Amino acid sequence: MAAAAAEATIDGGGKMIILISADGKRFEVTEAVASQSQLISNMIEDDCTENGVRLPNVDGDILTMVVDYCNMHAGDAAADGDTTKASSTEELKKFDAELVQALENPVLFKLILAANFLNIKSLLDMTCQRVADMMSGKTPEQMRETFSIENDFTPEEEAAIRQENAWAFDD
Amino acid sequence: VNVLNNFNKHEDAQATIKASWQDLPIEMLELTVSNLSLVDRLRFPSVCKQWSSVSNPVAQAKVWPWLMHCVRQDGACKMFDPLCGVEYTMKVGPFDANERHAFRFSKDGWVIVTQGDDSIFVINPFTKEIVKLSMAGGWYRFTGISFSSVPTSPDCVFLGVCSSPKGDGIKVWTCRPNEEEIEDNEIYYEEETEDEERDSEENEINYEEEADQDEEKEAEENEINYDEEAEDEESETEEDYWSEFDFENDEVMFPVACNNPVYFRGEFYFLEQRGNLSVFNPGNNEWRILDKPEPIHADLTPYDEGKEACYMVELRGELIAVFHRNANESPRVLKLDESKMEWVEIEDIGGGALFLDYRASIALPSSEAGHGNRIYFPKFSEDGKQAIFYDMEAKKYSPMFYEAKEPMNCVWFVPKLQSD
Repeated sequence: MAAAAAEATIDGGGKMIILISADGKRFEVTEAVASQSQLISNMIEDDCTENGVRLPNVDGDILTMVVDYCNMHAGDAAADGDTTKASSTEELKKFDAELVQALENPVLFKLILAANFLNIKSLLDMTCQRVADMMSGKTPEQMRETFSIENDFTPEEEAAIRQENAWAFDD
Repeated sequence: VNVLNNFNKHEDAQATIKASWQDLPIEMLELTVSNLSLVDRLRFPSVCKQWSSVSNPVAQAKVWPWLMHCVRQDGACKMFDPLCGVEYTMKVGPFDANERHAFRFSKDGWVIVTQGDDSIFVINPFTKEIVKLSMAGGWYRFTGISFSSVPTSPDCVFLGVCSSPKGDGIKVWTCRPNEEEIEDNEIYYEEETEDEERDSEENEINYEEEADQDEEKEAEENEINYDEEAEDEESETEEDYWSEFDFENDEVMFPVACNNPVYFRGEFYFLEQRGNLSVFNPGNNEWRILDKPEPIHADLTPYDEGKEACYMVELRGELIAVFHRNANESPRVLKLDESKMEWVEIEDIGGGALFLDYRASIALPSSEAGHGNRIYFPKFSEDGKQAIFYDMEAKKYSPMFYEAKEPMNCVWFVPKLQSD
């Protein structure tokens, strides 16, 4: 690990890693970018990234977003003090806000699963926060509508749950 | 992004897979739920079966002060959420329909209520836990009231204060309702608390259900108990748990302002209209007027009282005072710089929010996005949808302060659905 870190500081970008999506798209990224994923970071540590990292759970379009996100955030994660590529805090905030706002519902869903699978905590937190924001102030009916969820309760079951805090369900 | 190879053309098939949110794995559901505010959190389990299985405690839902107000005397209270602009209605009780009750103070989800001339108690409106603070002398003499810690804790001290108009004489009353010898008479919730705690660990839903049923039962019991005790009190006037202390101020007068004392580092702090502070120590029952901070309105006489409201809150371990004259002037927000013991005027409150009222002022260290650096008043727009606040960044009131209505009987309090 010490050797890898030393290499990374020499040419600024570090070693390159190939990520391969479920649909076969290949992404070439630096170790610094890729290791924001705890999963990949562990693989780097175990020296098993030689032949590319296959990510059978992540589609190419989602991986594109993830790689974009990691490229943007490589600055704050990198420990080598390379600030030339690091984005400013405001830029990052803006990037994150735009990314998360623009997400269509099914893409957001897949991005959460990808962030979870790749174990990128900041991206997972951000996407789950987005889902919570989408629930904010909505009635259960509106939540179902937003997320295309079928009500699988019997009327009695639903009434029982509502009854517990009836005041919170007055529209 | 460097796409080296794009030989796979089946991506359309992949993209059409629909998101099935009800099947979002439980860890991710729980992470999402941890970001929900109270009402969203309560509604969440009623969406579908999978979502009803999240185990996050309701206690972890995001909360902020609501304005509880009550028009009728039957215990039906309105809870106005100032950040969302929504109002909920809830039966709180047990209020005696024949006697006028008033909210006096709140802290940690508990609200002090007075009823008639000599009944005073503290209640959690959600769990219906009650601690009675029998007082023969009459609470109506208090200009300020506060308490130290959770009202069910053994060491909780309640404090009432009033002063002569000139500020040469101060009266302080203290009460420790949970001290050993009177514990049995005063606390009714105990058995149930244990049940609720056990249930809440196992399953939030069961907890709520049982709490609701039991609460109704309990509320009735409380009323009965209460009535009985009230009669006792009439016959036995020594049933008064308050100790009274008199202090005379010689050189420096201290007319206590109409706001709530602040329990801060083991002592009660009082803010006066001129901006100086005094302290009551409930350990040794001593009263002292602090030399510093120096008053910001040294020239104010006691007869100017009412021209300017002042409030004090603790925010992130510091004392914050707000002086507010009227809707034409911005509130002055000051922080006590303890290294110099000086009031320092501040332009923002670090993204937090203040909820001010003479009965109880509450500081929220971190506010929801877009609601930071605001000062909320116990008023809302005519349609009941917008809280009235002062925006410290834009330096203006929003919406119009003048057109706001302020409920007669109201109090800021932070909803707490779990028992203490």
